[in-house]
Amino acid sequence: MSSTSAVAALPSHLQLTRCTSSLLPQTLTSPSFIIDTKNKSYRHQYSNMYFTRLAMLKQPVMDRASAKWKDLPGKPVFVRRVLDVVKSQLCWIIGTVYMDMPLKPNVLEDLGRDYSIPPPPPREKFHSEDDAVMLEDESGRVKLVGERLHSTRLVTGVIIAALGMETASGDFEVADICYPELAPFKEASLFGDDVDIMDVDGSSSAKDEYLAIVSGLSMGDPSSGEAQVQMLVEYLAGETGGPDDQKLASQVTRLIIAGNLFSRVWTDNGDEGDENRPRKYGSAAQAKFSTHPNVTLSVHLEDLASVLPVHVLPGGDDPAGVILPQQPFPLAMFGKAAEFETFRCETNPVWLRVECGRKSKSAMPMGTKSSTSSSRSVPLIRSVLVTSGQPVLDMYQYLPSPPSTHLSIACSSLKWRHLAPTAPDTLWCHPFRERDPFVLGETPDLYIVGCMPEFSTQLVGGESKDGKMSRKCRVVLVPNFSETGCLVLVNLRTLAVRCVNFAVAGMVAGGTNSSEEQASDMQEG
Amino acid sequence: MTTQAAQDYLTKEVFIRRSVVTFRSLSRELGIHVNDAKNELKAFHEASIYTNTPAIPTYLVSGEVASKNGGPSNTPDDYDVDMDMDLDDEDGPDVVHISKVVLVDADVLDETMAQFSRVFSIHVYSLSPSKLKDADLICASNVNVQKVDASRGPEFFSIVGKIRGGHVETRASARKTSALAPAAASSSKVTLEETKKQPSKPAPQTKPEQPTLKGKSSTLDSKELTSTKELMQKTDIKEKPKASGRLDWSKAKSKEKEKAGDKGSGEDDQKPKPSKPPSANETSFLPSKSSISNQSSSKPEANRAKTDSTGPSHVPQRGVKRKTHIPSDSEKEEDQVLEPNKPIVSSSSAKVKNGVVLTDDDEQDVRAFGRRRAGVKSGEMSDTEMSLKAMMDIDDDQVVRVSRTKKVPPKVDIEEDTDADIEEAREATVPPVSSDADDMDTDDEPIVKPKKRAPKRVVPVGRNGLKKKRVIKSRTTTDAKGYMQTEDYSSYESVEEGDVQTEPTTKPKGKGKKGNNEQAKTEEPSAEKQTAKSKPKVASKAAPKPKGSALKRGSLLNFFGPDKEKK
Repeated sequence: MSSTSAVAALPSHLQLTRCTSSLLPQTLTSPSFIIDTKNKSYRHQYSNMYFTRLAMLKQPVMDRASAKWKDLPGKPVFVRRVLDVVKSQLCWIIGTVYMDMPLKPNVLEDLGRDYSIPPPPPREKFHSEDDAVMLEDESGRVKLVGERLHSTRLVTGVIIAALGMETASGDFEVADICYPELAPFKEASLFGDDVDIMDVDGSSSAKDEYLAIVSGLSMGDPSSGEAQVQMLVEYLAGETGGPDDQKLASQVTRLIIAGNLFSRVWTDNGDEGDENRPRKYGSAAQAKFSTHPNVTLSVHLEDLASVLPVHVLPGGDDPAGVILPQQPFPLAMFGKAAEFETFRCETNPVWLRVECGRKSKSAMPMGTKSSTSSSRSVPLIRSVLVTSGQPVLDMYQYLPSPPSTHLSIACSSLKWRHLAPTAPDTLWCHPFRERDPFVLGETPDLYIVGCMPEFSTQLVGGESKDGKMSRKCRVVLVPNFSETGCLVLVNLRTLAVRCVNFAVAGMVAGGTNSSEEQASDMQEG
Repeated sequence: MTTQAAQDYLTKEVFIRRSVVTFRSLSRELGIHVNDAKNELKAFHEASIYTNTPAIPTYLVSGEVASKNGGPSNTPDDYDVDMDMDLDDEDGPDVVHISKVVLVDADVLDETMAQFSRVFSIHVYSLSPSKLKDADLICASNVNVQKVDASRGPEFFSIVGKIRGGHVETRASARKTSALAPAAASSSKVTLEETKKQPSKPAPQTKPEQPTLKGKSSTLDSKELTSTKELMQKTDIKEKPKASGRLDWSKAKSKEKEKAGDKGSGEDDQKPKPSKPPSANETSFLPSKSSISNQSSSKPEANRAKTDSTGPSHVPQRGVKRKTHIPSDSEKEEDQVLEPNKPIVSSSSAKVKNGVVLTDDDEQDVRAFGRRRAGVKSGEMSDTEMSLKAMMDIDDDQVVRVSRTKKVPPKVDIEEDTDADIEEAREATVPPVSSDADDMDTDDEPIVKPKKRAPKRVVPVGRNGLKKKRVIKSRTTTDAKGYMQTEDYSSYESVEEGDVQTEPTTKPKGKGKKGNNEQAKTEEPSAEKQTAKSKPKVASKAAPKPKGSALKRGSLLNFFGPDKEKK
């Protein structure tokens, strides 16, 4: 009973107003991932994407490489075509990386496979010792060799510049590699000082706006508990906990659901050999009191959408097309939640421009006093790039895992200036003809990757040209909520990150994480 | 501490209904702030600890966890930095504040709290009659919360403590659609009300006469009234009248049937209008009208009456016009139309007179139709009743079904009439001949099937029977030919040849045919002759047999009949 005494009475009628942020229309430079009817054709060859990608990224790489290597002894020259490399002459070339990996899934192997035998389970990694790195451009392809490559982790589709010379065997011995590096930031830093100050100091100022990100709700998965989702909803609504919690919740200006709202609709245990047979819709929810995951989810989404703007991205497990710019869910899927203008279904990779702290807004007359804008009258625009994680998960298969993590790959992706370099190769994607929307012409302030196995975050900074540290991009990997119960809050002003874990202890819940098990163990012991 | 309302609600929900009450459901139920609701839960729990049935609390603890999770994000970074020369080293330790919100069973509350480096708050999340085994049970109360939130609107959020963002906007289109939806629903309600009201009116009827009057007035008036009354009565009356109305109607049906003879005929008067008059005018309309009457909607019937008199018009007008115009224009026309039919019908006029009890306007209309209807068949009674019910209960499904099942016979009748008319052209009045010829047949038989077949059947039968028998008696050669159906014709000729041998057989034929062609009037005598001839041969019992055998070949003979006549 000592514990019950710890339950203190809560202050009644705590009046909080939610901080606001507004969504700005996209700029012309940011690519749209909407595939309109005009571009819906699948006729085009994927080679177009490689051409356009190389054309788009060649110049930045060339600039950086020439600056980087101009002072090298030996005066390396730039050879425009890969095949024009002169033997035993130091030079550098630019091209697209192609990873020749024996373990990589191959269509020809797939076709020649004996169909009387069930297919081998997909590998966790393509990586092997026999991997070969090629560099190709319009003219042809050359094999890269050298020690440098061992310490460099590359995936197919990356545009790089390679410094070296051709060996006697015709390979290209690499001495150094140059990436495009971070693209210029999308939003001009309005106040340079502010950017410097923004560094994480732990004590975030009183009324900073937060962006909440959750991923992998996996509704309909029998192993995921709905209780956590319920707690999440209540938390974001500002009803859970004490004044501290409620105050933090009131600072959350919008929620992004980064993919995997639903669980995969086929069973994972392939023992019965029916792994590809779609489960009856709703059967997954049999154990629960809702027969329809979508209904359950819609109820929660409506609850959420009534208190704050919600952005919903489709994910790999969702009932949406798997081809990579995943198109938005139809609004009608979500029932009453769709009645809210601020409930938005987004494409899978999506750029968002969020402005916080603007004083005059049309939505203000609700009576919410804009204390944030008064205390910190600095309006701030943050560009946010969100994906549901498929590109990172795919690249993860290319790279040996001890050194590489999902986080490092996500950071590398920014430096490669490409969101999904493996896209046409191993990642299914739409055959774009005249553009490659995955090229990062600009760097976002916040790069959110959903559906990751675990939470992690990092600031990725570009190299400053004038020696001073420049802006940084916050990379956040958002884990599956169904597995970790993790809600990520990002301070839009300081880019500081907080995690809120929702868990259940002392009783059975669908998703059990380690701490719960500990707790239950302790209880039993 | 606990308010009375909260106490009552919690007692009821937890101990009586044995359900889970969360702070959220409590706050929505009582319209209080969630924090107050949490306090209420706590107070209620503390009060119940020392009772026999303590409410089992489930706590929610929120707090900060030692930033252990900062590790995974940093350690790989170190790898990264070491391995990748290009990576910037400048990223310092990235402190991530990790807080945790845990739903805790009371038993493990202390252990759970030990995990926190700093506890923000603890509060009672829910009370339940027993220990929560499955955390998902907390979601059960969410339904009511949703309902309340949806009904009370965003203004309610501030009271409850739900923090709504000022930048949340509802979709304009969604509002429109939602606004439209209830409108549509209301319209549908109106229709329902109409149907419900109509039964309710006639319900009180005690005498059979009233329904007849009301049957008409209610259908007519009901529409006019419903439009006005819709607004008046939208609320509660619906269901009760419904039930009572149905019951009353069932009773009314029985009453009507019981009293059938006299007053039923009066009721018939109304019905027959829609379905019958068309039959008199045009045979082609009949099926369509019968189907419409089956629908048991008052409108089509009214339209029917209208079409006869004047063109189709709006429903309300119809009612008015009917009383005024119909007697003048339509009646005459109808009467004219009816008269040719009368001779056929003649028998049932007595019933019609019974119906005269009604008002004058209705009467005349009714009478005219009623005669026809009643005259056609006594079996029509059920049909008329059905249509009457249909008039009163517009939407009642049962009536519809019943009417269809029972309507089948009238259709047959109609066809009969058509057939009869057609056949009349060929063979003056064959059916009477058949009826006369087959004294054995009751009047009912011709009603159902026999009439159809009878005309075709009977004439050939008589001929066939005669032929066969004679052949059998007289000669064997014709037997083989006679059995072959295809050669029947030739055999028939042979029969004519046989006429020379046996005169009696040929006579009836020749007379009958000649009579038909030359004189329509000679029906009866020929029939009598046939009967007279058939009797001596087969006697009274033999009559049915020839029919049975005649059924097969009768049609063929009928087919070839004209040829013979030509010959």
